[in-house]
Amino acid sequence: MLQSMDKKRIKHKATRSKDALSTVGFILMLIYVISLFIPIVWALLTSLKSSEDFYYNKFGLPSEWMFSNYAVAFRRMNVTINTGKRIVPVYTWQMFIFSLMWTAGATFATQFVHAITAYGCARYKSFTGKMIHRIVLFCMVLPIIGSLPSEMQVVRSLGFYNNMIGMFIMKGNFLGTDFLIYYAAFKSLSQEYSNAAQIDGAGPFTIMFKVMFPMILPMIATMSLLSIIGFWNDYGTSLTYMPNIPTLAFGLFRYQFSTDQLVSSIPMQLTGCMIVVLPIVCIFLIFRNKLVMNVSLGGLKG
Amino acid sequence: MRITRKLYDLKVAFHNKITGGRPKKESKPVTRKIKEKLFLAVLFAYPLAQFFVFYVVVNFNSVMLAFKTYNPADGTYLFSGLNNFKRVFYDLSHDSMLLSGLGRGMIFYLASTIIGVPVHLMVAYLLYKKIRGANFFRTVLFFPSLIASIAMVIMFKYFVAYGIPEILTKVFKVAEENVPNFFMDTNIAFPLMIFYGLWIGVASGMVIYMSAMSRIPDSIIEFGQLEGITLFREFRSVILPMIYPTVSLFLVTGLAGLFTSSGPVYAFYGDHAQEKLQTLGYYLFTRVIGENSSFEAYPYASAIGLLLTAVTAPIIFGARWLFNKFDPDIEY
Repeated sequence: MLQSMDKKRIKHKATRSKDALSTVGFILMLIYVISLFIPIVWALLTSLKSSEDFYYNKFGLPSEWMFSNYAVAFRRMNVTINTGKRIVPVYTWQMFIFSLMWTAGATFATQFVHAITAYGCARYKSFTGKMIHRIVLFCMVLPIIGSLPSEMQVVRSLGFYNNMIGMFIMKGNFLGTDFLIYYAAFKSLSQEYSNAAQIDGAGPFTIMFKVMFPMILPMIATMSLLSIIGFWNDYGTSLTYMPNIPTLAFGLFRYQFSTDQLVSSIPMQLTGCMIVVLPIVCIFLIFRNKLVMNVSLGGLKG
Repeated sequence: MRITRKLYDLKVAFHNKITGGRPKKESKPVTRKIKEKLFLAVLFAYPLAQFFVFYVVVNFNSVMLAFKTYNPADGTYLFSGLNNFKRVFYDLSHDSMLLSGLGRGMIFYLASTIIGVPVHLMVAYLLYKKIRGANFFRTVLFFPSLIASIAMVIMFKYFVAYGIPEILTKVFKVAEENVPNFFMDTNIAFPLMIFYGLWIGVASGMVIYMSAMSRIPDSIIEFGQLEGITLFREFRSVILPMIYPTVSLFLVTGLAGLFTSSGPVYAFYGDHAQEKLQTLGYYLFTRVIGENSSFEAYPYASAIGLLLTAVTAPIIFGARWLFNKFDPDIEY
């Protein structure tokens, strides 16, 4: 009787402290989320103002909703590039196309190379496979600082500077956590599937592409989605290795320092931000359950 | 239905005619082994070649470059012994910019570790304990990792530069001349850069720890609750030891940025950051990329990089050893 009362008291105490944590936590998180969204909402509203309206009215709703800002930004905002022979403007719509090309190509290159290398290492016992696995782990821990100058030299000497195909080749490596995630996924698949396919006369490539890859297709899709988000938002590669093929994110970076009357306008720059952000937000809203639920370090559920 | 069956019978008959009705011959083990090796050779050829060029060659060349000097006359790099290293040591002892840049980088790193990691752990724990609105927060906190970092920087920058002064003058009646210039006054700008890094980094850091916490078996938590442990005790004695490998991995790999963390300085200022905002990482980057870059600076930047690698690598391996030593080694 006494023991049962004790348990009840303990349970009641635990519930009370969880309630207190829940309330305090809720308030703190709410403050953080609000602080996070204030600049975003402010930027969205400002992107729909004219420059003059913004000058007099920094916080209110737009006096006139300038949806045309988006069309103007898409068609007329530009950055200039130096081709060596002349200075050429690159418009937002062109950068949008570069971004699409870059995102698609780089996602395919990285995911394909990670997946096939991880497959070879996980499904076959070989010295090379073991070595690759160790290289990945070693490179994750060993810091190499200041190799950028050398990388620039190698990239230039291979003719990959300002060359998107070259950058796909450079990005298509097997290092990083993606390899480990694919490795764990392929390792967990039963050997029976490949044995059965082998008895039916399937070759190693058929087994890989037609039997094993489809089994982890949901995971490949989630990884690719994350990769798409990463490459769409990436401005570093364009800044460093292909400044003459500006992607949208890189264009946005350069808009900040532009002296052009149209580009330097704050509402127009924020319109540029929205053009970069909106496609990814759409992707997120479509696949949000898959992305939020499945992402975890060292493993993605299928 | 009958047609489909007939078609199938026809297919079987055709197959039997060709193969004589025998099952496909299984290849001999030796042939299979050779096939397997060939397959692996094809599979690994590109990834290994890529690794060789962009990791082995790049890093080997980086070491070589540290011992060379640029010859502007013909655009070649000539061997110059330890000159670059001597210059680095000289600059470190005379050039306050290099030394203060190193210090600022360390401040960025320490802020993200000492303040950032506990905050990420706390937020992850709150969501793990399913506080009110946990599902909503989990979805919403995904946004910062979704939005391009450069877009977020621009939105924040203009909000602070144009929005905050408006609030200060209109709501708090601060005289216009007393409104600080948030991005030009380095006494404000540097803490602002640190704040921005911490503020925007909450979500990404939290995701890692929350997924580690979600793998803890419910039975262990329930057992603790039956024993009547407090939430703080649960976090300290149950959760932390269980997610120790994730926390230690994060801390060890994060050490790579000990000297070269730059925070968001480049994204905010591009090539034009004031000297008092520049970190060593920023300094090195802008010597290789952008308006202030030159081929002449490559060897010097490589020499600094090589020296920092030589200092950072033992620190990282030492920290790894230390973390492994105190690993509670809990399997679940």
